[in-house]
Amino acid sequence: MISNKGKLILVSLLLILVSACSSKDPDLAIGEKIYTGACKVCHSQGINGAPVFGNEKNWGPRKAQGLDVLVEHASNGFGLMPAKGGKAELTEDQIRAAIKYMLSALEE
Amino acid sequence: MKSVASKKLASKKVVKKALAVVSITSATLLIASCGGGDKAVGIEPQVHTDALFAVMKADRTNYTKLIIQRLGPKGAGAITPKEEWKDLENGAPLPAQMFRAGAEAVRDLNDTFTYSLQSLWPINKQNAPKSPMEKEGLTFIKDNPGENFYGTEELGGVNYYTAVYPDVAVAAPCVDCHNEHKDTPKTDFKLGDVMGGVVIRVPL
Repeated sequence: MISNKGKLILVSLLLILVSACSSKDPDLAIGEKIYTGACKVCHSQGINGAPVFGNEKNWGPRKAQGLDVLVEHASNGFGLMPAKGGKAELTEDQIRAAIKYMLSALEE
Repeated sequence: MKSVASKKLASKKVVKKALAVVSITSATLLIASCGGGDKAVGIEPQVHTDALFAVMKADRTNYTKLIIQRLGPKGAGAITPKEEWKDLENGAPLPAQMFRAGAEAVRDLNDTFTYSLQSLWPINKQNAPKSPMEKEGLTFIKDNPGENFYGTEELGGVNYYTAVYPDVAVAAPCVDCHNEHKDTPKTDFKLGDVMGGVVIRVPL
């Protein structure tokens, strides 16, 4: 039989565990929001040659170039991609967060 | 000498054995005919239309990158991509026009599928949605950027699988041309907007 104090400790431990498991990197959460609103329209399925979200073949060589290069490409336009995907109001931080989110979909 | 009773018993046993053999043989033949051997299985309609769209996307992207960009005004300057390309000696169809040309050619080549580029705001009214499912699909992809629409419909007594894929304003010329065109019903397209959709239809 567990004492009331023991039950309280157990419940507290469980709450800590649940919150630790469910907490997202805040950067990724912002990135996901930017991705959904601005990037998904092309990147979800490779419109106009856009690297497809979660596609290792598309993103592998790009990931190897480093985040700063990818941010520069997305911000200024690259190949068939218009600058900021046409969303001129996006800041560099927002673009960085969106790219980090897209990279997070790849396997380590 | 065997008695009548034992003769009857013997014949019953023979009949039972015969029945057992026939039953086992029939069951074996039934199982073999149902489950045996390699059987061709059809492709899921969504897999089929997604594959078709992948080819269309790739060809359109390559036309844009390898022909329009490379040989057009921003590249070698050898061709002039323009809606009225036929009026120019070095005119070239715009990517959307090349896409439509492909759709027309496919219509002439086969009847296993059709595809078309349609819009809720077409410059040419013949490219407006015609069936309720086309309208539903175009509305869905406009309201859910990045998503595709899939459904089934009956037209002229035939059941079809209908898929609608987004057509996105990926370059400034797409936006500028549509916004400034004399026949456009919409003048505020922006880069990244879903301007219309590719409708692929496969008879079931």
